[in-house]
Amino acid sequence: MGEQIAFGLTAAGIVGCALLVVLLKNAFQAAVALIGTLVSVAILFVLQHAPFVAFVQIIVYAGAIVTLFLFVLAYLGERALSDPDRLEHFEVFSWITILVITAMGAIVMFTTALPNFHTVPETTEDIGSPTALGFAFLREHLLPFEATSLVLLVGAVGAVVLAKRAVMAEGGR
Amino acid sequence: MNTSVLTPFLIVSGAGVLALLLGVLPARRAARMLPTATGIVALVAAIIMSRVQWGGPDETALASNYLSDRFTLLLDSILAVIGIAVLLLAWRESSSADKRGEYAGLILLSVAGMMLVAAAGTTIVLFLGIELFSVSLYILCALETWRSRSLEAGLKYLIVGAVGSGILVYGLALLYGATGTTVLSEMQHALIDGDMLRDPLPIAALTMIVVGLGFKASAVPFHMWTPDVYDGAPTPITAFMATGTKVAAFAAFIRLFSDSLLGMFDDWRLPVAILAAVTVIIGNIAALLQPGMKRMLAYSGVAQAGYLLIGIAAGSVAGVEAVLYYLLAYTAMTMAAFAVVVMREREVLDGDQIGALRGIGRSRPMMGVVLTLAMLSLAGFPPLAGFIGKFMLFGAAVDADLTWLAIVGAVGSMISLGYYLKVVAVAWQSGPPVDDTTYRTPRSVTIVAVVSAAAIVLVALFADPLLTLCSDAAQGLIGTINR
Repeated sequence: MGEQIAFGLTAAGIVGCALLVVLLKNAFQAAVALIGTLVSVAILFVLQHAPFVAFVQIIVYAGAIVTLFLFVLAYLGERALSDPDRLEHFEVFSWITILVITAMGAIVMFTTALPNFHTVPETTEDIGSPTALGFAFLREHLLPFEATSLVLLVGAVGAVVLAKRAVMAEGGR
Repeated sequence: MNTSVLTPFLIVSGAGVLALLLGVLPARRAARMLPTATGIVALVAAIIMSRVQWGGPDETALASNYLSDRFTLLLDSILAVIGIAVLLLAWRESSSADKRGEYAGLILLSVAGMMLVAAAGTTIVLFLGIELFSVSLYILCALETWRSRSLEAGLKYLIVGAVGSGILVYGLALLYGATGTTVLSEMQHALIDGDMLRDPLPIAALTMIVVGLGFKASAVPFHMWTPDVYDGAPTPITAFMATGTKVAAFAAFIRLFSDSLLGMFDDWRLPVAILAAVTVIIGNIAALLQPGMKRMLAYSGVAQAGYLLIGIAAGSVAGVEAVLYYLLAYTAMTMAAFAVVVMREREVLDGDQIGALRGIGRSRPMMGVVLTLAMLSLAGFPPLAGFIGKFMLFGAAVDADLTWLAIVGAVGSMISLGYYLKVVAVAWQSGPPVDDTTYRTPRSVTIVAVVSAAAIVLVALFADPLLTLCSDAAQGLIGTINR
């Protein structure tokens, strides 16, 4: 029972903070709200008996990544949207999408016969210790692990290629 | 576990990284030549390795993350050929003048991502493969950074692609929730054992997967990005997107729909059929209205995606076989068309307009013949490859009790005559040819054009052995289901 209460609170935290990220007008505040979501996810990992992943989540995401976001926001400064009215016509489409996805999620949640969905799930075996993670990465998921590194390499190359030109255009080297 | 089956993928991805390194060599000449040369050598090696492995037993490697069956090997070869053609088309391309390494390296890594999609044994690898080739393409589209159209294309593709990927990964996550496994070949059993075939959860997953892959394959109504991105990107990259992305997206469709989700055939048959019909109709009608060659080919690519979806909707071995054969034909004819556009675009101002092709058949008969073959085959004139492919696709639809869909496809092909034949007419028109500059087209572009045109004829001429090949690949897929 206690675990379910903890889960309910954490889930509410995730959804609430995620809504804030989307709805807050100020980008700086939105980035701070993101910390709430990421920390709540970390608590979910603790509930799954994966304290190692929970702390990685806090250090890497809530710590490093959000700091990077804030750094970029501070670097760019407050920039007003050039023409905010232009996109207002399309707002109705985003609301339609939100309604459809919410309705779909609600229908699925209330009607699915998935085992363990409406009952208390059983505890899982060790999935979150460094040993288990090491085996998962380098044995079971070696190919995804390496493929991810290729995706990140491509991302880094792209950032450099595109940014290098921008620097030159602004009168840099 | 036999990791040697990964060789084609490892060669291409390794060469991609190597090309990136070679591009920063201090010697200018070496930095220009070596990345492309490495890429071509590696892709040829990958084709040879696929050929060597062909006929061996189906293998899974790395904890069933990588499937090496005939389907994988056939698509690896097609993708490697596409890679070689694109590298040749990009030879002396202006955008790659000082960025040779990045240009060739990203093309190679993109091909590696497409190969990963074809070989995906789990949903994770499938998604990572899609991301690998998509992220590379976002960058390649924006590579001509001094042209705002190119930047716009890159940004547009990034945003729309991210939305598509987001929806796809959401669907795959729901599918994992319903089955408890990421292994594609186990999903079928998990769905049946858990009595989940009629449950709303996998149906919701299915919906999102169709939408997500619809974005990648540019099926209507998820095609909005296609004309703008195809138009703005450097033309060799457009050729790459038109052929490679389509092959990879349909590889993903086949892996998921003819394999893991085949048990839910009754649920997805009609939606996919409707998607195919709408795509054929809208794609063909929109293509009629385009003045630019690249935009016209973009909408024609949308329509071609519709024909390919007809084969998926059939949900049979014959359907998959037809899709594979049509992908072969489609690659040849699209590459030929784009080779002519690349050439023309470098020679004259506004070279991507249809008007720029006026009289090309009279002044340069060889290019005229290439263009005519490509257009007639795309329109589905017998006895060219496009006709045989469409015939197989529509036949598979009729066998699967989707006669109405075959009729829609045939009507779409008739509409398509309107714009394909217009190009042929313009190319053979008399009158003063559009002013030729003294610019000499690199021989590599001519080679791609001529070889692709020859391939259109050869794919039709050797239809019988090629269809056996495709049928082998499709059978291998059904083999993995039964296992």
